[in-house]
Amino acid sequence: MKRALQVAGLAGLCLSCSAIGDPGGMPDGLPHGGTGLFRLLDSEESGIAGLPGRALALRNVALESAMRADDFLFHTHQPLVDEPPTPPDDFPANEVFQDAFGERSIYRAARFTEGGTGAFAPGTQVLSASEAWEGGEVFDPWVLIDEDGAARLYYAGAGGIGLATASSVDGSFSKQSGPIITPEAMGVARRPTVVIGPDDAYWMYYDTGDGIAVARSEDGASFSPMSFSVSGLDETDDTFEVRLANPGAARVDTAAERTLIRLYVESVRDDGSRLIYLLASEDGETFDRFPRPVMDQTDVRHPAPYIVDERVTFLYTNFPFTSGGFQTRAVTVAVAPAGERFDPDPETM
Amino acid sequence: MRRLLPLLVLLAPASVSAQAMDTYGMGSRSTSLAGAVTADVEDFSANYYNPAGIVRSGEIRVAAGWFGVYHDLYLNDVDSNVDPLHGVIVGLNVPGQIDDFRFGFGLGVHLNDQRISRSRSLPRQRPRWEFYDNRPQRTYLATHFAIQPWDWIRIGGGIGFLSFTANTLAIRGTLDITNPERSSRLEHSLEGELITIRFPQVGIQVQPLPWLNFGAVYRGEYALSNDLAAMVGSRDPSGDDGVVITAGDITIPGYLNLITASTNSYSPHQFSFGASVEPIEDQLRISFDLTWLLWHLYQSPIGLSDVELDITVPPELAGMIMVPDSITPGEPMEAFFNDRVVPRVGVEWTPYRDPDLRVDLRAGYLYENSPAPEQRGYSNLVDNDRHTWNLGAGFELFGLRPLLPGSLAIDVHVAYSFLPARAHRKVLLVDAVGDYVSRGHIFAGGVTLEARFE
Repeated sequence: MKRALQVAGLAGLCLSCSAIGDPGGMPDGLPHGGTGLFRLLDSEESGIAGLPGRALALRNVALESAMRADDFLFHTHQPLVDEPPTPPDDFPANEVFQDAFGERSIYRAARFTEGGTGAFAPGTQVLSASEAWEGGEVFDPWVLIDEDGAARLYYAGAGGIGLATASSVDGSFSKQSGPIITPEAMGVARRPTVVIGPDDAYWMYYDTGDGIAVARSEDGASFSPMSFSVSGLDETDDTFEVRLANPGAARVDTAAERTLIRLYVESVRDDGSRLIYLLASEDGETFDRFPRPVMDQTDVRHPAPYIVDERVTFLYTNFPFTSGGFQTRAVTVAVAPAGERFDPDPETM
Repeated sequence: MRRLLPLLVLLAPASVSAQAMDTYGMGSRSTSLAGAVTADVEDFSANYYNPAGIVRSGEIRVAAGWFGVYHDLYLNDVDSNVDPLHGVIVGLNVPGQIDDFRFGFGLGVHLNDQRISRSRSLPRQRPRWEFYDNRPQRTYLATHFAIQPWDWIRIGGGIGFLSFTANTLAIRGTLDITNPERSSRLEHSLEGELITIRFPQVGIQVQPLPWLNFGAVYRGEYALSNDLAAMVGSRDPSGDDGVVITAGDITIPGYLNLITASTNSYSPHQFSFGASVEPIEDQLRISFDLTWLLWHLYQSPIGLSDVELDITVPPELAGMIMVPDSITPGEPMEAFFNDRVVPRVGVEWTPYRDPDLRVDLRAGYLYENSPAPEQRGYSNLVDNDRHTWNLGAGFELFGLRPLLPGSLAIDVHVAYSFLPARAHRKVLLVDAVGDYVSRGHIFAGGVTLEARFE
């Protein structure tokens, strides 16, 4: 018994000496609503040297309206012409001088196979203008992958929005004849973005030139116009919003078993700058607005979200870029939550 | 009346500190019975469960032990990385007697081994496991006094105090905004104070029959404030405590004052009622407790914040530096918690007893409905319902004379808590945090040694 007490006493002493602990940490892994602020990936993460956030940049090419589908980046590709004219002195800064660039077509770039998170190698053309209603060029691609792996490529031409399909996202696209959306009189229809909504129908949002319109379809090809409204304050008080433009949509299935449509949009300001805002909807028609821009930058365009997982969102946009002495655009990638960091590991991102 | 005079002692200062025990229990025996011991607790854990029990056994009891808690809590299936909790517990019950009047003093300590106390000011909207992240990170220190005026009734209580923190951070020197890392010369000072607050705890045990016990306890409310004042510069930049902001050779007069005041930890008024029966004398004991916690009085940790910013931009930098006209202060935010009633049940069985050894096996269950509402708005004070199952065993060694004129009890316990999934759907579809589901498990265990002197 004496030995037992000695052992018990020693055990008690050891327990008392357990008062040596680690300092503890902060809770992490916290949920995030995709509201930003988005942080541009740095060059170590993206594997592309130069300015932060670079996901794809090409010499003498204007890249615009990029979006990611699976492991591919679809974008508008516009090469510099051989003997480009000089823009006039009063040509606005940060705009692409279209006369210096050739016809727009749609390219598909594959994700880096070595070293680079969210970044892409130069791609190849997958769609060019061939129908009269397209007006000689196609642009603003948006790809939706169906459950069976087939891919739908929605794109814009001069006469509206068209549709091309492929058996897979890396396959050859075949156009459906004629536009599926035509613009209103004196208007345009461009930058389509399509998601499967909470009602499992296809919801398309597109830019009309003076705002955003929405249409709904059961089959992804025949769309009917729907109403579009936004509620919520814009708390940016040093400039005022002129219109919303160039939407990019994502379907989010929350852990709380609710389906939302998140719409990242450009807010064109009265001073010519563009800010990116987030809208969200449960029914596809009525949207709440996050009151502050989701990115700090003031000339960001064509936001296209890519949902990495429930917490993490990549936002592909394009930034001003200079190539061949001309103002062009380059594709960038930003992440929210901003505290997320990535190894340049293409296996995961 | 003479028998009640010692109650005046209850007005003397004692010390009680905050309540990891509300969540994880105190002492292996009481914890393995799920805390259903209000009616008849008599070991050192009476200093938490019911101070009236200090006088119950009439023995000097000295106890020491260890406890550990591991949190496995998730938001949207991502580990929330809530710190584990472990440390030591120490207790002492000292009885006394004048004629046939019995009284006793008690001391209970629950000491986390990682920190004595932790204050945290989190961003207002940041999700936090309200009951498991910061709240248990406290030291519990309690002294109590109890009397037994008649054989069938015991009364005890104490007045506790614990500390809140007030911190002041001051920064002075030169800040070069054009090359802050290389050209700035700043120094800071941090002053923290622990200031005490008090709250009462009283209890009663009634034993109308040898096999039947009733008990009741009241634990007072407390709120730990967490005040932080941060000052960068002063209104007089030429003073010794000023920060001089420069941009190369240009001096920019300015100062910043930040004040936050929030509630770092809160425990509500609590009323516990318990009963225990022994259907088989000295072999089987069954106990029940109900604890009513007035969580509707909860003081939310999302408190006041205010920023005073005054920067005079020199004309040569106008247009380059934008200074907001004002910064909207953060207002305290209601938590809208609801009261909670916690049922507890415990069973203790003695399968073996001889002159040298007694073996007890114990089991307990408690259910805590969450007082926190679904977090549909701006705040994210996360909590879930909790089911806790406890198992334990006790070994009491007798016949230890002359080494120990009494007995030595070794008690062990393990506990498992299940927090079923709970969905939080935000009213605002563009909420910065968004919808989430909270769920998890908590594992706990411990061992207690108690020497009992006859």
